Amino acid sequence: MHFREALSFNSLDFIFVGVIFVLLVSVLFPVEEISSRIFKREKIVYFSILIFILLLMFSNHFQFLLGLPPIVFSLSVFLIGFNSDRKYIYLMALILLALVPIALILGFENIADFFAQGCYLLLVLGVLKDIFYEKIFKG
Amino acid sequence: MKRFLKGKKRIFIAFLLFLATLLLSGKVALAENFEKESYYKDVLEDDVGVKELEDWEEGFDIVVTSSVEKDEIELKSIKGRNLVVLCDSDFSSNYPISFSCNKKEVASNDGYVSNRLLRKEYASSRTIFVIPEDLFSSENIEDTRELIHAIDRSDKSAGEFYEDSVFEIEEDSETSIKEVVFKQIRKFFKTTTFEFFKTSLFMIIISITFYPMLKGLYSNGEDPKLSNLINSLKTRKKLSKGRKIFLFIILCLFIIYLAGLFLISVKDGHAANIGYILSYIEDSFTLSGLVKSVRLKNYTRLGVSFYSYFLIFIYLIFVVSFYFDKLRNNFLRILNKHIEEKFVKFSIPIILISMLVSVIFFGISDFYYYILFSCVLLFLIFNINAKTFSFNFSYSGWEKTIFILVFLFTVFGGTWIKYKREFVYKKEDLIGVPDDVVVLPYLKDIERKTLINNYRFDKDMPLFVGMYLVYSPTHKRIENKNISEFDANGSYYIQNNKTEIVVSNMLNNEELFDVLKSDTPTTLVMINHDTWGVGWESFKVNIYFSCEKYVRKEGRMRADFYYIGKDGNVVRESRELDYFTGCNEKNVQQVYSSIFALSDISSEYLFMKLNGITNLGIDKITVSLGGRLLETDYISVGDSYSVLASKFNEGDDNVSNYIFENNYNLSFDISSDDGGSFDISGPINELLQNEVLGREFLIWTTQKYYPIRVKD
Repeated sequence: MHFREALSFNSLDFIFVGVIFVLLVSVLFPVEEISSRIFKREKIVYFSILIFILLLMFSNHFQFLLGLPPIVFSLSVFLIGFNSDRKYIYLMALILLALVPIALILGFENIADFFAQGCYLLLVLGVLKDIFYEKIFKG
Repeated sequence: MKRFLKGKKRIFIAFLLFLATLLLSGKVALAENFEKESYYKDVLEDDVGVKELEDWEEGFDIVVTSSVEKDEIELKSIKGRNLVVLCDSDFSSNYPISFSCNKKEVASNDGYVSNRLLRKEYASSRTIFVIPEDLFSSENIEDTRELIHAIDRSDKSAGEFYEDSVFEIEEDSETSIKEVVFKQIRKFFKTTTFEFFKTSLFMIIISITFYPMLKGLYSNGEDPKLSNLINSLKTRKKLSKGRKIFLFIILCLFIIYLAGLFLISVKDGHAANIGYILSYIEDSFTLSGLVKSVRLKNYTRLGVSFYSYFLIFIYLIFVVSFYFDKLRNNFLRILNKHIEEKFVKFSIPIILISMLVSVIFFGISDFYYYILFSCVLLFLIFNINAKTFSFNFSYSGWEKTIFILVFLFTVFGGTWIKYKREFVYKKEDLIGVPDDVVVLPYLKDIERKTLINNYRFDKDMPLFVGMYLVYSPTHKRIENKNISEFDANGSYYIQNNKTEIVVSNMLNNEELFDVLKSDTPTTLVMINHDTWGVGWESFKVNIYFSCEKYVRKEGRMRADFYYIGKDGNVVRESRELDYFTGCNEKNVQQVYSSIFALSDISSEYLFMKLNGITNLGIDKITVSLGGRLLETDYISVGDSYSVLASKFNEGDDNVSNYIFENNYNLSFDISSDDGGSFDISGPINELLQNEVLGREFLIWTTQKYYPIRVKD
């Protein structure tokens, strides 16, 4: 069996690994000091990310178009939540927690389920903020 | 303002009256139910648990044979919901399908009988179940429950498989693009990315809705106080005129939404049932509900889903308009925030290596959204770092060595593991589900490099895996061959395939042509033509319906024409036919005619496939060209994975299974053990080892809903 066939790699995967390597080298090593101005680190990084995006787009443009906006939106919502006041996060979690039994008594099990999920996510967000916020952002 | 309020009051009172009328009409309709029908309806819903099945969610009608006339079955089946015929007396009917039944048994040539239960889909998403009363007795009810659930699972898995299978390609280009888009959307609905998106959307809506309250509670210091909230409510700003109009539009749309849901509830036979409406709303929001609506092409439910999302969307716009600046500033503040040096330093290589692991071990297609998410995250981190200069990319020698070593180790280690794994097979059970009852067709989902454990089969039906025959109860040797090797003298099965492939092979093989000719009318017609020539502009098709049974139509009928093009390949040309409005009178033949122009065809042969109707109920099809009646032959057609034709010679030990476009000839002897069973894992594993079967394949037999596993 051919080695490449056995690994069931496709050429896209190979290009991807190559770009990851270029990106890693350009981050770890002072490329600007060695190369000319054309190979500035920032340019390499943005160019590599652009290649990633293009590869993903060409490999499945439907998936790309369907996936990118929700990913950007979800990430933005997470960051907005992460950056908001922790007392609001915890109080919201408490409100949702209180709404769970009310929804259950009224027989709205799916809605209760959703409130419970919301409460859980807000608690996770609050804990993440407490632990990591100061390790990620300054001030 | 007073006039405005008066108008609003009037709308409100009209809406209340509308609701009251709906409630009353629903109550009247409910009162008409027969006692026995209500009892068995409850049994089906509570003991059999049909409410859990998506096929039954739209509600169902029930007919008890001893207390209703035959005509009522017709009436209810036209209504457009699932129909349950409960047999508590000797009964027979031709409508919507032919069947006969009594308290204990059911028989039919049209439907599929599995363990004394008849099921047949007779129109798009409309199914008839004929159930002998005995199946509802206390000792049988549990088995009936298992069987109905097993049939539902089989339908669901096979349905999803057919959607991606080879048979769905018989569409015109426009429909194909639509189908491709639908498939992609359907797949996307099942992803974690969509789940995150949905959660994020709801979280932001809830946060924005509750924000004024939260802000009010904290308005006067660190501790939340109710008095703060009351004070903040007293001093709230009045809405601007534009926002008042916007709010009024939202309220109107919401009232239309509620009214629509009440109408749907009444249409589905639940009268104005608040519980049903709430579950309908819940379902229209859920992921599974959306996927189901798309899959079943249930446009009403899909419409409600989109309307619900639209309502939420405009509500979101309305609420966000108050806090837009706040949200934007919050987001911009994050982009301009200084990130900790250590975070940038380590997060970038870690993200890159996690991307590498995904690509090396699983491939881009399996981890598509994760890689896309990583790219967005990388871009964000670089962008923030470029603005704030938090980190200047200075790594120590050790750090560089470690990251480069991890990179190389992942690449070479991953490649080596993958290479080794390529030669080691895992094993799993053929029927992997723990259910007590499993019926065929069964969709097998299998990972690469996986074989199946021994599976002894001893039923009296042939068994097919994909298009391959792996068991025959009456033969000692099975040979799966390409259709080009077709020999009409021996015993054989011919597998179904796309019409253009069947047609092109028929034209090259006279024996095959003779075998696939059908005496009974089908939807595939070969048009004989000694004198083509003039008249292409007035090609007339007459379809004669007997109107004894329900004529199944799915939207507009379409005629696909197949002929040999100038390049020698089969060409397909499609024509939309006019709407067939249905039979006017039962048992009175009705002719449906359609005249259209065809392009000038120089091909010697012309095939016409009618799409959108089934063979059932067609008496004959005639075709004329320029007023001349042409000679026609009917050709056998199959439905997805099925056998087009079969023949068995008495005393024949060998059976051949002919497959169109087959690239792998699977032949083996059936050596049954003392108990008469045969281990079918041998041929299936041969197909798996040679990668003939995909990651998903269908296990089926010639009888639908044939139980492959039953309760002891």
